[in-house]
Amino acid sequence: MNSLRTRMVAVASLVLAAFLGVTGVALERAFHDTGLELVRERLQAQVYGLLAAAEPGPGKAFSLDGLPEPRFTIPDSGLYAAVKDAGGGTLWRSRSLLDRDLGLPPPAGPGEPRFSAAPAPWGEALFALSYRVRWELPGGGERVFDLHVAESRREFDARVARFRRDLWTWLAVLAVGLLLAQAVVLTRGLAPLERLARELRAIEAGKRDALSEDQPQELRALAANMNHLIRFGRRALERHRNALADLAHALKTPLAVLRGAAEDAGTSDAGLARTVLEAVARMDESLSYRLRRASAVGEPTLGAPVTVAPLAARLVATLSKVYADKGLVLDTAVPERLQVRADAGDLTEILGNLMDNACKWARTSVRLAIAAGPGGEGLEILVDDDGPGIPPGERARILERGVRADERMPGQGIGLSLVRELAVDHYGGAVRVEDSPAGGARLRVRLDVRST
Amino acid sequence: MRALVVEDEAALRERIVKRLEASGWAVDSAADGRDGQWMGEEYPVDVAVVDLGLPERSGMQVIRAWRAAGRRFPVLILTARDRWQDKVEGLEAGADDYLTKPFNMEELLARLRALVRRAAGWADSVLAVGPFELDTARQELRRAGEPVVLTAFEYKLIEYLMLHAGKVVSKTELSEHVYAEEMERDSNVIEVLVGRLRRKLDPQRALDPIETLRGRGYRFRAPEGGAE
Repeated sequence: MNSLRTRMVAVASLVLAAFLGVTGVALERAFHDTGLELVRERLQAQVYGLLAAAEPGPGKAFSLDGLPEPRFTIPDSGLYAAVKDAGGGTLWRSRSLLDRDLGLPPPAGPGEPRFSAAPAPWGEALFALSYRVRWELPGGGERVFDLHVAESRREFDARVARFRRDLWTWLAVLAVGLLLAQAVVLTRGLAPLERLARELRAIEAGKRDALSEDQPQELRALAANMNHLIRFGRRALERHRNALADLAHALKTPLAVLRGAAEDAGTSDAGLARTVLEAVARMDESLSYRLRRASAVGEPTLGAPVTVAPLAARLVATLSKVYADKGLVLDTAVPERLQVRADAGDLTEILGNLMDNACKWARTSVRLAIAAGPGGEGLEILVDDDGPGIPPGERARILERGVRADERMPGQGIGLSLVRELAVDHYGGAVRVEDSPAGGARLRVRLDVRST
Repeated sequence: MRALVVEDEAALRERIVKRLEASGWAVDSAADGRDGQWMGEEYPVDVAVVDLGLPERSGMQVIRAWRAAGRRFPVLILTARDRWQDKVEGLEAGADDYLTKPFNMEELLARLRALVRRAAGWADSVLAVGPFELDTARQELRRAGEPVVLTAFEYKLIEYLMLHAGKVVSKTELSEHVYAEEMERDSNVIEVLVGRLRRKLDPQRALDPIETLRGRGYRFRAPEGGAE
C-alpha cells in the first residue's frame, strides 16, 4: 500500500528491530564475557589459596595445611582441586572429588595458567584453571607440580540464562513501548496532512471555498499557493467570460444597427439590403458560435460539483416563458440528488440548446431525462419531442457546424453543433440523433464526467 | 400601448423607437440604466425593451429594481450575450422574453405584442369578444367576420379596451397608454374619439360593446369564456 503512514511505520519498525536486536546481542555477550572473567579470577584466587596452604616435601610427599575453602571437603560440592607432579601422578585431590580424576592436561609451563571449559570425565560441565608451580625446597633443589582447580558451570549457566530472559523481556517491553510512541508521533505528525486532504475533499464537494490558513509552518506555503490557485482559477474564468460577453456586446450592437438600417433600406435598394442582411446573418452566426464555444471550460479541477435537477428546473422555467405561446408541456425526469463534476455554464449551454431545439420542433410536448450513465459512469441526457423528427439521412449533417436541417427554423444550425462540440471536445462524450418514442426526434448526449 | 425602450446605443434606440411609433405605439426611451429604471417606476408602461449591457446600472439590476418596486409589466431583454446561462439569469431577474442582437425588427414587434397580450391574460393573438375579433398580429378588427376600417388612433383605443375587456379603464389611463406626449392628453378628445369608435363598431346601436361608467371610465364588454 502506497501511504506515508505505512512507509513510516515499516521503516521505523525495521530500524527499531535492528537496534533492539543488536543491543540485545551485545549486552548478552558483554554479560557472558564479564561472567567468565569473574570465574577465572575466582579460580585464580582458589589456586593462590591452595598454594598458601601447600606443604610439599621431598620426593612425592605433599600435604595441605588447612584448606582455604570448605567446599573442597564436601563430596560433589562443585568445587574441585587436584595436585599432580610433572609426570602426571596425582599427589593430592580434594575430598569433593572423591577418587575421580579431573582428566585435565598439564599446563604448558610455569606462569602460563590455562583456563578451559570442558566437561569432566563423569560428565559434569566445568570451568578449570591449571597452574604449574616450581617450588624451591628448603634443603635445596626444587619440585615442579601442577595445581588443577575446577568449578561447576551450573551456577554460571543459570545466571546467564536468567540474565538473557530478563534482558529480552525488557527489550520486548521497550519495543512495544517505542512502537506505541511511534504510532502517537505519526498520528500527531501526519494530522495536518490528513486535515489538508480532508479540506481538499471538502472543496471538491463544494462545502468549502478555500483551505484554512492556520497550517503548520511546513504546509503554510503549500496551502497559501493552493488557495491562490483556486481563487485565480475562478477569477480567470470569470474574467474570461466577462471579456467574451463584452466582446459580444461590442460587436453585436453595431450588427443590430446595421441590420436595422438594411431592413429600412430594403424598399429603396433591395439588392444592397439583401447583401448586407446576408453578411450580417453570417457574421452573427459565426460570432455566436465562436464566442459560445470559447466560453466552455470543461470539467473543473477544483470546483464544486453541480446538482443537475435545479439547473434543469431553471431552464424549463425559462423555456416555458419563451415558448409560452406554443403551450408546450415540458416534462423533466432528473434524479433529485444527481451531481456531476462539470461546469454549470457548460451544462446549462448543452441542456439549453437541446431543449430549445426540441421546443422549436415539438407540437405539444418535450421531455428531458437525465441520469448517471450505465454503471454510474458519466452522464446521459435524453431529449424527446413529438415534432416531425429528423430523417436518418439528415442526422449526421445537422450535428455539423452551422448546417441547418430546415431553413424555416432560425438558429437551428449552431445550437446542436455547439452541443456536439461541447460534449465531444470538452467532456469526451458523444451525441446521437434517434427516433423518439414520442414520435419526433430524440437527442441522446453522453458526457464523460464523474457523477454521483 | 405604451412601450419603454432602454438601450444605450443611440442609433439602435432611435431605430426601435421610430419603428414602434410607426406601428402605433406610444414610446418612452432611456439611454442608461438609471433613467430607464426611473421611467419604468414612474410611467404607465405596458411593455419594456431592456438592453442588458447598459451604462450606470445593468439591465439585470434595472429589471430586479422594477420587480422589487412591484412593477409587473412584461419585459423583453435585448442582449448580445446568447449563452443560455445569461438567458436563464435574465429571465430569473424578472424578464419575460429575450431577443439576441442582431434581431429582426418585425420579430421584436411581434414579441412585444404577444407579451402585452399575454400580460392582459389573452392566450391567442386574436382577441375575440362576442362578434368582435381583434387580430393583434395584423392589426385588424372584424365584426362577425367583416373587417371594420379604423384609423391608427382608433385602433390604439380599441386594442387597449379589448385587451382589458371586462375591466374599467379610466379616461386618464386610456390617454396615458395611447398618447406619447403628456401635453397631447385631453379627456374631451378621448370622449369624442370613443364616440366615433362606438358608431363604427355598432352602427345599429344594438350591441353597445363599450359601456360608459359615469365618473369611472369605459368598459369593453366581458368576453364569454374568452380571457380571464
